[in-house]
Amino acid sequence: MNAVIHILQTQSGGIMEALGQHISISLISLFIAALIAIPLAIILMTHKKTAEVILQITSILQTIPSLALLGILIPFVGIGTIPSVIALVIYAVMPIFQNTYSGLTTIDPNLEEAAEAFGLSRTKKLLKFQIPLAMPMIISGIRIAMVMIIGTATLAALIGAGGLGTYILLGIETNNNALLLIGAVLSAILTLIFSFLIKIISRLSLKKIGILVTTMIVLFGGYAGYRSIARPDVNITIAGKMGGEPEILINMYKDLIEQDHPNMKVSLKPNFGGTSFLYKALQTGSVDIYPEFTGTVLQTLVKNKQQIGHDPEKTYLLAQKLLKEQAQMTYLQPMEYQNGYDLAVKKSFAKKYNLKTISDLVKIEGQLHAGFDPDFYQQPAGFPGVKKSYNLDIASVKTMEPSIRYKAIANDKVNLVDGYTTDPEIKEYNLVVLKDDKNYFPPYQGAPLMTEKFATKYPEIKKTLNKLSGKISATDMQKMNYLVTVKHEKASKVAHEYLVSHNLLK
Amino acid sequence: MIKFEHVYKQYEDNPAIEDLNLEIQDGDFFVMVGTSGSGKTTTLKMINRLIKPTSGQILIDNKDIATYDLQEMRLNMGYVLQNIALFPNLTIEENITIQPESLHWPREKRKRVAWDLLNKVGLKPEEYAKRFPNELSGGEQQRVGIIRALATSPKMVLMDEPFSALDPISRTQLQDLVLKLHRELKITFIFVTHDMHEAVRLGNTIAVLSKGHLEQIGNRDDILNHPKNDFVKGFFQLEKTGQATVGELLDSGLGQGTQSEINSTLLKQDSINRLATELKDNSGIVIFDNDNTSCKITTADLLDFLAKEGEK
Repeated sequence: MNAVIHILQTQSGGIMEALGQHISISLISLFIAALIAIPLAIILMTHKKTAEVILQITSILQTIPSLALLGILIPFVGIGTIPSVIALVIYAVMPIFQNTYSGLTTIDPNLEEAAEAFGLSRTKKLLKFQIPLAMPMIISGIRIAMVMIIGTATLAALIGAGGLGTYILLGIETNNNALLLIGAVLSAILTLIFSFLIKIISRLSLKKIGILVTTMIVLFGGYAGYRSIARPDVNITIAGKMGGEPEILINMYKDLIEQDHPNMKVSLKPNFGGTSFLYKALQTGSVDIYPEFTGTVLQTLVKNKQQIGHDPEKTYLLAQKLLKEQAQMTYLQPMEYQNGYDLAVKKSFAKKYNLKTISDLVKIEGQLHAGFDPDFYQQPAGFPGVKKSYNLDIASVKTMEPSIRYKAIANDKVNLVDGYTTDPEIKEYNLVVLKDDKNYFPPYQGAPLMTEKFATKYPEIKKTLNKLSGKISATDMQKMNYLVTVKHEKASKVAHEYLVSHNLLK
Repeated sequence: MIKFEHVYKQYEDNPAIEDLNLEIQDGDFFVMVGTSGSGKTTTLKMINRLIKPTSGQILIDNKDIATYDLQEMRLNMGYVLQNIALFPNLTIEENITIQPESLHWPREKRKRVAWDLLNKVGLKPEEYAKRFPNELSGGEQQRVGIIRALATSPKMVLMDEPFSALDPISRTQLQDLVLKLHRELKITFIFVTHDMHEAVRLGNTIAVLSKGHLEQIGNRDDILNHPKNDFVKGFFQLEKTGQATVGELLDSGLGQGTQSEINSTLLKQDSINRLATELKDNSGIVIFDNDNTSCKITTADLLDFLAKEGEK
């Protein structure tokens, strides 16, 4: 709870922005969906067969998993708000259409006959009784759609559209339950508020609803127009994956580029989403640069038949070569630190047994009680490999969730844990990383990734970003991650301070 | 004038109407009566084109109704439904003025018409105009249903078994109401019912239908006293019991022509109950107009007739 309050205090600006994004994405989607579904139902209310076909189609669309839908849309419409809105609209059309249609077609046939016999026109019929009598059904359709939209909109964060999902994904990614809670609770509250508003709107007359809708269109149109005019021209878009570390890195890129090339403007998209979304965004040109790890490139982005070695230099060169051959990408020089698996122990424990390397563990293996992440424990490249390479036989191993694992070692429940080399918890809980003296763990070095096309167009940017080559040690990165993730300092500030103190920025 | 010429209506394989020929005069109170499946409602709905004939022609004022603009034609034709079918989301006033509104009448005029009509059927406008249909009783609702059909002062009003769902007391009240409205407005009422009592009570002209055929068309006297066939006779048998008419009395040879001044408005189709009342009021001798000749009936004639009827 304290963590939640702390985050609310330090990041209220970001949370409000995410809330705003969430509301606008949801409202726009709901609005467009209603604008499609209601007239469609009105047109089709007298064409039963066609209406049933449409109902089938919308039901099928509904069954596509939202994540898959987003993936399908990226090659066509890129990333960001537009594909999110399209996906949400596709989901929301069905409940609104279905309810409107059944609302309109289940009206007492005697009333239809009366209206017909009175010679009322189609429009008069709709306005006088059909829509008013179908209204409760239409409203409940809109409400169902709204609940779905606000829930599903959390996935928009995966493709860079922001919203409350950013906090949920960030929470999952960094094992920060407070962030997760904030995202989830806010989106639940949002659903309740909207539900209440829709209830109020449903009590208004048709005329008043019309006025309200028109006002909304004008306001949204005006806002969108204002945004498109007021937004400065952006030359370069740099994005980063979820979490504090990528955000620090892309802020460094921005500072460096803007220093060297004052005529260029850089826009940042932190917490943009998962690897595959970012990579697709890079391919479609929605994003120009993002930092990627060598190990990730070889494991997921390119087809690679060779065994991944443990030499960082060789790994980088292989990744660079395959990216160029297979995807026409340019992969710049990597930074010093590696963000791979590691084994860590408490500082006091290391001192007591004089532990510096993983090999040192062998002599005390009978006293080791480890807490490992389930993935690390099972993956061949994780613990099974370590065990074999170092001939290490640990007395007892328990698997546990990543965040619990650090708490377990802090409370002396275990005395050895796995982790990532740049985890801020290493600093937070006063741990030391044992050196992988046999270079067992595959190297994960970060470097800027961009398309060849972009690199050819802006050769000077290549030069600028290569300034970070070989810079930033694992300790530096740990410290910075600690400041951002645990102390909630601004990533831009932390990045700037690093660059200045290392004379990379004047 | 409405005219049906060789009208057929076929549903799938079932003939609903076969070779229907009839005429409805302007200002008539025309009742179509028959059992269910007789085709009476189908016939009615063909007039406002809710149902399209399979073949044949329906003419209004010698013009095929298929050539009229549908909406314009219907906007000037009142329609009263069996299920009343007031729009539940509209007030009584809005329900009454739904056709005038479609005709773009000014708001003031619409209100005036609605209020006048409400007054006419004994519903206080101050009290009823702003209410919603579900706040009214069934009888009140059908009063509104009737005046809704009258709002545009149409040339004709079609009524499809409008009182069949009402209790007997409300039904009689509403029958009186439509008779009164018909007298006042002098427009064509076309009324469908399965109730022969209602048919005889209301109709100037009565058309008896059965299984898609027109069995007989005529006035009360024709139908009751000169049934064309066994079906019509059987259908009105119950109706006739105890309800003999003046016409029957004359037919049985009683009564006589006279030169004297008439002293009563008695009609041939009136019941002998009415005759009894008239006799009492006129000291035992009633002289009335029977097809332009004066006719005299005395109390003795009535007694003779009743005695003969009793012997049957």
